[in-house]
Amino acid sequence: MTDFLKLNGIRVDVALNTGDLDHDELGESHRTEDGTPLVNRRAVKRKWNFRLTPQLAATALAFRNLVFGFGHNWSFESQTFFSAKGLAPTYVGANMSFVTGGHGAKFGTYFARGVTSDNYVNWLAFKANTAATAAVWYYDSTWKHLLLRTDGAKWFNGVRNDAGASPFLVLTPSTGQLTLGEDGVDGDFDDLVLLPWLVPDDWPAQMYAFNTAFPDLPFLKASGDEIEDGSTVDVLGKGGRLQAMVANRGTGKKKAIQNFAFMLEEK
Amino acid sequence: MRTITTNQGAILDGTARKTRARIKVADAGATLRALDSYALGVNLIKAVRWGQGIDDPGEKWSVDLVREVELLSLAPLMATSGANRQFNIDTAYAALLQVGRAMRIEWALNAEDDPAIPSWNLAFSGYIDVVSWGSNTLTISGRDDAALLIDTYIERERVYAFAQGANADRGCYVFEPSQTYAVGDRVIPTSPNSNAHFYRVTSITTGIAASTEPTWPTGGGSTVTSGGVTFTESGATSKTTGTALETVIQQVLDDNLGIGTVTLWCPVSPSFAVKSFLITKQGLFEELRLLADSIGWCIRYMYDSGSGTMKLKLYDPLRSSTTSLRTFAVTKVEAIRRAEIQVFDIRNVIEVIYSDSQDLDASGFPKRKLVRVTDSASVTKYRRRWASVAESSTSNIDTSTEATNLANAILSDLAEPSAELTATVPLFPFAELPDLYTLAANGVHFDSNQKLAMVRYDHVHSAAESSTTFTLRGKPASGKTKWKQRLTDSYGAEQHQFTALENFAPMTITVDSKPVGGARISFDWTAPRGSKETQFELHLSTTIAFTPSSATLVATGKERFFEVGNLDPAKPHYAKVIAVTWNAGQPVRSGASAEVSFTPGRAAATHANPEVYWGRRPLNGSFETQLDPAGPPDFWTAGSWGTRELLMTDANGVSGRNYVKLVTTDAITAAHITSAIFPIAYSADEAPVEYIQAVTFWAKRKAGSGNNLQIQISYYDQALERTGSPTTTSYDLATDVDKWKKLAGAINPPAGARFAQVKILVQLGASGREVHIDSIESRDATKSDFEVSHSRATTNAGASYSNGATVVFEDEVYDELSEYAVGTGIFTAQAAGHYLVTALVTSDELGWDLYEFFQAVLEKNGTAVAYGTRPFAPATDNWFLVTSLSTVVQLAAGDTLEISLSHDFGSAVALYADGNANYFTVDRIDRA
Repeated sequence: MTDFLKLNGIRVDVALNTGDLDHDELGESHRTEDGTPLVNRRAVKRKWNFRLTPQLAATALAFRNLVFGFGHNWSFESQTFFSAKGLAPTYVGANMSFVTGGHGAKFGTYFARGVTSDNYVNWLAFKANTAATAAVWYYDSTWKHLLLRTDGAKWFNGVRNDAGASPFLVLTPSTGQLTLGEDGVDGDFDDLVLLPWLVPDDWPAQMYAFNTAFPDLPFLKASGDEIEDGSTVDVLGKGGRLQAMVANRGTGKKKAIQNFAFMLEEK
Repeated sequence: MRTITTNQGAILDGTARKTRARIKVADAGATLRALDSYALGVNLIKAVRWGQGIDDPGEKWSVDLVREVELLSLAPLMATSGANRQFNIDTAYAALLQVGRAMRIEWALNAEDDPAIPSWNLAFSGYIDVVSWGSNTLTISGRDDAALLIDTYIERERVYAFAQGANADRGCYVFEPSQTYAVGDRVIPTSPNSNAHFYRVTSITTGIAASTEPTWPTGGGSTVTSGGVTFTESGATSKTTGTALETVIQQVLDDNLGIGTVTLWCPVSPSFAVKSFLITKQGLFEELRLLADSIGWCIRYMYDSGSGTMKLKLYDPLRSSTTSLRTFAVTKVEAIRRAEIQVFDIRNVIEVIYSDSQDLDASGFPKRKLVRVTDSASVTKYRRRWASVAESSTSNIDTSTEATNLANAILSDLAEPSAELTATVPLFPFAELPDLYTLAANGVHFDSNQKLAMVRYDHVHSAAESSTTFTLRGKPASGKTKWKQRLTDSYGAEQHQFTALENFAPMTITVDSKPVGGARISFDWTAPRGSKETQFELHLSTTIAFTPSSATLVATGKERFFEVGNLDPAKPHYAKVIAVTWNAGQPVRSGASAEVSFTPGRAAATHANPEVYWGRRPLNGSFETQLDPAGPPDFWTAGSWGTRELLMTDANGVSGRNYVKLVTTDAITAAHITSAIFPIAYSADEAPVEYIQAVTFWAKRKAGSGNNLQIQISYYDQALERTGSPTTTSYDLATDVDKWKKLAGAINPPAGARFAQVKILVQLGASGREVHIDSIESRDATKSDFEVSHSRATTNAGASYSNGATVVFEDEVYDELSEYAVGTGIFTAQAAGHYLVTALVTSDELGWDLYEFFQAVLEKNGTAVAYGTRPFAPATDNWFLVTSLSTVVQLAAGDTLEISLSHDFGSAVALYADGNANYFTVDRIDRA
């Protein structure tokens, strides 16, 4: 059984009786004078309304951020270090380049390569002194997945290993800087993602398992049973109400939980 | 289009962006305050809108603001608000939002989730025109920096591109008398083409020129002082050389705003020389635009990325460019709101009328010619749609080739319709007029990429939206709009009337002198194209080769003729005509026409009323004309017309139809009528001839006593000042009741009299005295004309006279005109006429020999003209011999008569000493 809904490979626990599908019709559809339906539709776009199951506040916020498409991603397909949203790098080393062929890109055609020295790129990608998550595919005999958070947590191919070395991907919370590439050490990279929040611990494995090019934010890839034709659809998320509740965990402790409604619109 | 940096391009191409816009306004201290943060960090901006179209002079903007947050208010009359006191209680109240203050709108563009602080970019700078705070939303609006130019009025006319050389760095005033000048002003004479020099004001005292134009020296650097202003010759002028367009525009800016206030930015020179023209009183920006339009260029405030400021830019809209500056993909276009093709702007037959500089007429002016081009395919599809462009006489389109090129350019732009689209895209603050953009095929409105020129953009940034709406149309540039303007407006013509009108003086003046004391002056005039509300000035002078001025202006009118009167027919007159057209409410004068001379019309005999005695004085002496029925007869005044003096029209007069009744109505007021003053002849040179005015008139006493009628004659000198005392003659009509009687009076004028005036009155004394008067005539006469000449002289002296001697009758019995001289015995006639001469001469008793004779001889001017009887002595003895003479002689005035003796007595003959036996009488019996 597949999940009801996945966004970028991350399972979204949606509440029962949500997932209404609606349609936006572009064009006209009306009846002629004698009553014959006259259809002139240019496109029909789907949109779904969802509500999360009550989640812990932090998780709910993470889903909200995911749905809104906050963050930046770099596919390198357009051979630029500008993010898909257009965030400019603050520094591009002289020996950073875009490469095709060889062992091939993880996704698409091009990947980024740094060689010898002066081979790193900096972005001021998130607000200073705030939390963030970065993920990248790097080549080490094979393409491998690294995800790290500003709280020091790291996942290699979806497996947590906070002690693992990852000098080629650095988050500097004090300045909000993201650095890709280690000066003086060669490296090939593809599909870099920066999310300006801490992803929940259960996401890195799912993101690794997703094994699909990250869609250009703020668009998301939606899949699962709720997508009625079983396909993966590029969607734009729109946030709705984030309802706060207090749940009794049964141990006498109470915990803030939140209930998030959102909408996905087909791209 | 503004330069899009790499970073900005990545954001524009990116999937999500964050745009911002804000306004900064100058406070009372001219410090710019950003309204998104100035109010204690509160963003008071609700919405920012700005945009402009190709036909607008510049950006128009409006910003919606929150009027107040709690006690923090932007309302300008809230004196207690911190915003209006620079958030310092010690600072005097001065509204933050004030019309006329400077402002600027800025925008920022970032990628979504870019944590960087926004980097603000200048959209434009300008001024606040309106502050409106009636509702909770306070709205301010205004225009960009062009407002300064739009609101500046050219207050004095200047001529540009006329002066040449190093000193020709600003416009020239045309000299005006009594005008105020400042050092540095450039001035040209009022006849600039013939003078061909311009002058600088190099020093002033009062700064006010004299009331007449000076004689302009033409030597290099020579000076002339007019009133309190000294002018120095500073170089030559030329109607044909011209001055670079951008140079002229800068001069216009400097002249009207002060040197250096606004510097024109012209990155690429148009390499176009403007020929001399007059800038009249009008809006400054309007004038600048007309100048740019003259070559189809644009002038507006544009962003200079080099300095990061807005500059007034003169630039080529790159009509022929086909390079799209940006392509908007389907995924970047929010909506196509309007897509329309219409027929109205299609023109497929284009005429261009121009002045051919290579084909001059007899007067040396370019002939007006026409070229026509047609797109027959377009005519077939859309029917014939004709248009015409008339180039001014000073246009640089002055050859057949250039005119044809222009016609083809217009035809190319207008022969086929092009779609007009309105597209809304995410805020695109890089747009500049008139960019050429490509809209990618969207499969709905068009299935191929559309490359269109942007003719308008409107930006809006608010919480709800942040977008730019473009109106895109046809080929780049002003294309259609500009052509359309050229087709429908009198493009350029009036801008160049300075040179044009000099060559458009009225011509072919003809004068018809039939109007008495005036003339009808007709002329032809060929109007320069575009001139409107033309009128003409007629200048007249009695001086040949005169210069028209306000003193010679006698009439203005819109017809091509003038009828003038009140001229002196005795003098030749000279006329010139000037055409005046109007530009921007100000008159623009042509040169003067050629001078034409004429003599004002004289009255012909047929103008006179035959019922009036025109040859008699005083005029209208028989009262036949009376133009004012309520007044006395023409040329007469009365004491109380209608009461004591009345016009009678019945058969009882003696002359013509009318006569006058004088009747007293009380005992203290005379009834009288007085003639107009009329000239008389008098000269002391003719002494001893005595001059008189001989007045005759007819009178009839109807009632009252008989001795109450008087005639009074007043005399006036050459200056019409009364001279001497009026002399009065009284008449007694006691025996002549109800009978017309011709009365006469003769009154001596005083020396120097040149005019006379007759007054006839019925004296006071009783009411009801009534006398009728008619047919009054006064004429110049001498006393001898008027009185009978009689003289008689005798001698009883017994004097002796030898043969041939003139007898001296020493006793003058009478001599009414003092014509006989007792000392010489010679009579001198005062007037011509026939004179009866009688004489009797008796010898004393002398001893005559037989047949000795004794005879009186009448000599006229010393020559015998008649002999008297000739008695003989019948025997030698003592005898009294008596000779007599009686004859009529014709004399002219001054002729002399004398009586001499002829005898053969041998010695002198003594006359018998008795006056009754020796006399000489002369009686004029008629006048010649």
